[in-house]
Amino acid sequence: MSVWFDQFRIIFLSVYLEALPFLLFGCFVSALLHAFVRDEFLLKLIPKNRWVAMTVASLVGFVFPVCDCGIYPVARKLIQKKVPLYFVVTWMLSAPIVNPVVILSTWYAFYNQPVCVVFRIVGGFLVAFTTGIIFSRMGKIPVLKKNKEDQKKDLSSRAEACTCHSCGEYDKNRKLSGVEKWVNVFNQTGREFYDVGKYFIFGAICTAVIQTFFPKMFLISVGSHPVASVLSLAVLAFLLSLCSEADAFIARTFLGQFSYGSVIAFMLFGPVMDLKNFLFLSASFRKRFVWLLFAVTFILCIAIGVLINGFWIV
Amino acid sequence: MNIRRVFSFNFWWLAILIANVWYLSEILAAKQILAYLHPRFIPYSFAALVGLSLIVISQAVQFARNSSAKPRAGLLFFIFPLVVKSLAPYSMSDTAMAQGALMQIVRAPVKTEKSVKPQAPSQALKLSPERFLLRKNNLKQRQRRLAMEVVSKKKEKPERMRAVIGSGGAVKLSSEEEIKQVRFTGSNFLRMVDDLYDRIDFYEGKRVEVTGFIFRRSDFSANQFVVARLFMWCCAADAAPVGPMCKWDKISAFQSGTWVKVTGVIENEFFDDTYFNEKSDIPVIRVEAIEEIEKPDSPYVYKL
Repeated sequence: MSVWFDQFRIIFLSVYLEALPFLLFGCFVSALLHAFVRDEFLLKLIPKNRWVAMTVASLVGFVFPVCDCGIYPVARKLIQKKVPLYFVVTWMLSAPIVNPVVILSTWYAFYNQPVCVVFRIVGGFLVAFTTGIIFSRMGKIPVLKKNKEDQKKDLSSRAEACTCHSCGEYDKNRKLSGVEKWVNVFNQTGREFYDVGKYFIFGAICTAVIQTFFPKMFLISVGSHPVASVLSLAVLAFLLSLCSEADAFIARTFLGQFSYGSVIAFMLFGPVMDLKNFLFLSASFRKRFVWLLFAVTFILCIAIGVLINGFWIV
Repeated sequence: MNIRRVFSFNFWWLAILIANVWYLSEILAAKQILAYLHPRFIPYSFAALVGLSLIVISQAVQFARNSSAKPRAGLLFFIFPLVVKSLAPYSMSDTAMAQGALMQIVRAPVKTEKSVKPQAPSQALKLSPERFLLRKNNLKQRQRRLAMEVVSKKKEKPERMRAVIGSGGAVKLSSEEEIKQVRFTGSNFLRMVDDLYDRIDFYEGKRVEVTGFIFRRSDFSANQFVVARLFMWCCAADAAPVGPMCKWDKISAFQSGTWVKVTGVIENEFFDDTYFNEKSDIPVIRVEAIEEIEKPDSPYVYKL
C-alpha cells in the first residue's frame, strides 16, 4: 500500500510541479492578450488565404516553442478573440510536435534512426494541417462553453455572446494607471489559473493513478500486429499523458517489440491529445467540439501509423 | 464586517495560493524538488514562484477591494498537492518508482558518445592535469549539490577513473593493475554503463565496483539482477531503471530495491531479451562480493 502511495505521490507531484511554470506562463500570455491586444489587431496578423494561414499556424511552434500545457489557455483566449477556429486548431495541434525543443529530444532518442524523427515531424504537420482543413470546412460553429455570467448577459439582450469575464477589458484598461493595469493583468492571470488549473490538477491525478496501477507490461503482448500494435500504443500515449519532450525516450524503448508505425503513432497522438489535455479541453470547450477533435486526431494518427507499417519495410 | 464577506471565495483562493507559494519556496530552498524534476527545470520553477507571488499580490488587492463571491468546490483541487505532499514524509531515495517503471531497461537509453554532445569519453583524454583537477572539483561540487554519493577512497582513484573513462582505444595504459577496478558512482554511472556496452571487449575480465539498488524484471532467471539507478529525462514520471546486469546465485536473499555495493568481474554473455526482442552479447558482472549499503541521497542519474 505504501509503495503504491509513494509512487502515486511522486508521479502526481512531479507532473504538477513540471507543468506549473508552463501553465502559469500560458495563463499570463492569455491575460496579456486579454488586456492589451485588440481583437482586430490579431485578425489583421493572420493571412487572409486559408492555406497560407494554416501553413503559418503549423510553423508558429518554431518561433514560440510551448508544450501542450501552456497552449490551451492561450488557444481558448484566441478563440474568444475571434481568431478563426481552423487557425487555432492547426496551431494547437502542431506546436507540441513541430518545435525545436521536441525535435531535438526526439533526435537524441532516435540518434540511430533519423527516419523516425522525420516521420514524427512530417506526421505532426500532416495531422495538424488535415484537422485544420476539416474544421475550416465546417464554417463557424460555437466551440466555447458559456459561463453563467454570460448567460445572464445573454438574457439581458446582449447581441453577441462573449465568454470573457469583463467585456471591453481592452478599452477599460487603457484608462487605468500603470500599476493598476498590471494588478489587473495578474488578477486575470489568477482567474485563468483557477479556471484551467483545477482541470489540470484533476488530469494529473488521473495520470498518476493510471501510471501507478496500470500494468504496462500487459500491452507488450500485443506485439507487432500491424493494426493492433498501433491502436494499443496510441491508447497508451493517451493514458500516460507524458510531456512531448520526454515521450520520445519512452517510445524508443518500444522499438524492439512494437512495429515502427505504432511507435510513430505513440509519438504523434500523445502530444496532440492525452487524458490531461482532454479533461482540460472539456472544461472550456463544448462537448461536441472536444469529441470531434478527439476522433479526427485519433483516426489520423492511427492511419499514419498503419500506413507506415504497410508501406515502409524496415 | 460580516463573516460571509471575510470567508469568501477570494479569501480561500488567496489562502490556498499563499500555501502553494510557501510549498514551492520550501522545496526549492531545500532542493527537495530534485526528487521530482530534472535539475534543468529549476529555473522554470523559480519563474513559477515569482508568477504565483505576483498573482498573490493582485489577489490580495482584489480581496481588499471586493470579496463577496461564495467559495467554490474547485478550490479543493488546489489544496490536493499540499495534502498529498504532507501525507508522506519526504524521502528522495525511494526506489518505489522502479516497481512500476514504464521501461525496465538494462541498457542506458542515451549514448553520450554518439549523441549531439560528444563530451565525456574522447574529451577526457585531452584534459591537462589542471583542467582535470578542475573537472574533478566540478564533479565533487555536483556531487554535493545534487547530494549524489560521495566516494571516499584512496587518492589514486581519479587517475584510475581517468584511465578508464578516457581510453578511447588510443590510450596507453601504464599497467594492467592500474585499471583493475572500475567504479560506478552516482556521477559517472550513466557514462560508465554506456561505455561498458560500447566496449565490452575492453572491459572483459576487469573488476568493477557498482553501487545501486537491486532491480529484477519478472523474466529474469533466478540468478540475474541489475544494479540500477533511476534515469530521469524530464521528471520522476518518466524515470526508468538503468544499470549493468549481474549474476549471482544467492541474490534471492536480497530484497528488490535494497541498496548494495557489488564487486565482480565483467564477462561477455549472450542475453536473449524477451521483452524487447533483442538477442545480443551484453556485459554481465559475475558477482564476487555484495554488501548492503546506506541509501544515497538520490537514486537519480541524469544525462547532463
